[in-house]
Amino acid sequence: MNYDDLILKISKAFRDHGIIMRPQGFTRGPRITLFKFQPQPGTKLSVLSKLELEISQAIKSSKVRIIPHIPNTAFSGVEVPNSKSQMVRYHSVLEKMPRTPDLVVPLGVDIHGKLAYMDLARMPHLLVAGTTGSGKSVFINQLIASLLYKHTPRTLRLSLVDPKQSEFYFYQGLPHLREDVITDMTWTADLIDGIVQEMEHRYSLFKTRGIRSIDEYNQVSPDILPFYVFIVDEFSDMMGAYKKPRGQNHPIEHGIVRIAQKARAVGIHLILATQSPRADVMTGLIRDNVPSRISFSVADRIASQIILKQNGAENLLGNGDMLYKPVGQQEPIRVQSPFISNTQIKKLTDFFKSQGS
Amino acid sequence: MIKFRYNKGMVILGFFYIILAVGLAYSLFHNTGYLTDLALGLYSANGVGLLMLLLALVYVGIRIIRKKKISSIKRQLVGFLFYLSVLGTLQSIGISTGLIGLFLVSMVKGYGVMLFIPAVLMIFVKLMFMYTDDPIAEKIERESRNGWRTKRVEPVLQHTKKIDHEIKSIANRIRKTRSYEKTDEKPASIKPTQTKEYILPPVSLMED
Repeated sequence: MNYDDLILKISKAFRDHGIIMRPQGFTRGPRITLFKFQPQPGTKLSVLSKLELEISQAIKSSKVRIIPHIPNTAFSGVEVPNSKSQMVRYHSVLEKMPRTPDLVVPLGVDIHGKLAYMDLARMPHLLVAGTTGSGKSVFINQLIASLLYKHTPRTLRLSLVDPKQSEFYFYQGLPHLREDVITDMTWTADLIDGIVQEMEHRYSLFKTRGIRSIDEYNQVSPDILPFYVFIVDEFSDMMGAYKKPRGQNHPIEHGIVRIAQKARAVGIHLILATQSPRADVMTGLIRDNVPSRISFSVADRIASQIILKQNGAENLLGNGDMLYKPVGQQEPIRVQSPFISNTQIKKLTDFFKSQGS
Repeated sequence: MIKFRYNKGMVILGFFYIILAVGLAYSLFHNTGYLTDLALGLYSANGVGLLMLLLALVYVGIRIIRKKKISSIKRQLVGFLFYLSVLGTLQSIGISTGLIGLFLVSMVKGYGVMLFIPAVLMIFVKLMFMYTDDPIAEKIERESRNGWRTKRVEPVLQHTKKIDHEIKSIANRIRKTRSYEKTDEKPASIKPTQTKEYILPPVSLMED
């Protein structure tokens, strides 16, 4: 089916439900095509997103997503999965990435076919959700790889928590690691305490020099203070390893919240990923203090609501199809994450390990 | 005989209301979210409902053994099947077994209305949770699934036992020490900051 036919069918489906939509062209991403429509004046936009099933049926497709209002335009959008998906290769993304010593890392290719980036320093912490097979772990691996491409162990330190004991084992022995990859969840409370102490230590360093941020510190000080990124592959396991004492704070939640509130200026950043974004794992306190979100395909609307505060993630395609919602932005951006293979990760980590020996 | 049935009904009802009241009172006085706990208390009375189902079956059994009027038993059996079919449908959309129990008891002549009201209220609460995406509702749903007894009654029972209380207070003291006592110890495997100069990898390394 060509695009003209699709546009006609979508317009007709809208018209059958009493909504007049004028086609305004389309843009093609690696896995999704966005059809733009201008609704007739007086159309109630909130009604549009309720027609996802009807549009899916009309064009004989699945996982159609309707954007009632495309930000900064007068249009509404209908995202339809492409019949043939195009893989985004990590090498092609890496070639275009500027190699500046900051925390700007590629997210993938957006719906317009352009490369999308995120700046971890601005976010400053990130929640990632996605079921098995959604591409969450591949995304985290490409994020770590992108950081490794920009930073030597002098400018970046990493702490990796891997309860599954299978996702981060390639990184074992990497000189960037602050400690070995943590697989025993009973250590994590001590680790969080350690990060809090590191944060306080950095603040005391800043205080003695009258400095407010890590960038200023690294400009004036002869000793570079490295960025510190703390990545958890399965946050629910980490939370579940400790019970909340009656009348006290949950030890992990309390530590995470303290770090999330204060650590941005001292160059400490958190990336917390989970398969199951439940309200008891991603507690209200954590969600309030970790404002940037990425959601891969999730099980249902409730999970999507918890992670993004809106529906939509339940209709993602999986395999790296994600919604990215940075701090301060209302509408999430749909991005296809690049694919990085285990061989590529191994080559990269071996490159650093060989220099250490 | 009528008086006997009435008294037995009152015992069943009294038992139901006492347990419900204890659950609600405990919810109200031991938690912060009063309103949600009130709803939870009502909703999670499913366990009591299940007990009602058993009692109803025993009651009907006794009636059969005591050779009550055939027409009466027939009427009750027809009523039982009718309600079962209606409530089976309800269960298929998520109304639990406990509610079926409540309805079964409510159909017994004489005190049905008194049980019917809380049963309808529970269905309303259940439906309210079914058609909302609110994470609070989700939490209540999950807590209810975990079981009313585990969440609400067991702590009460434990509080009455001195030894349990002692163990709990000791455990709390240990946890408190762990949470608040600051030590300079860091995880054993922390590595020192790198001073060695490393070379960044070339982009060509990532070629497929």
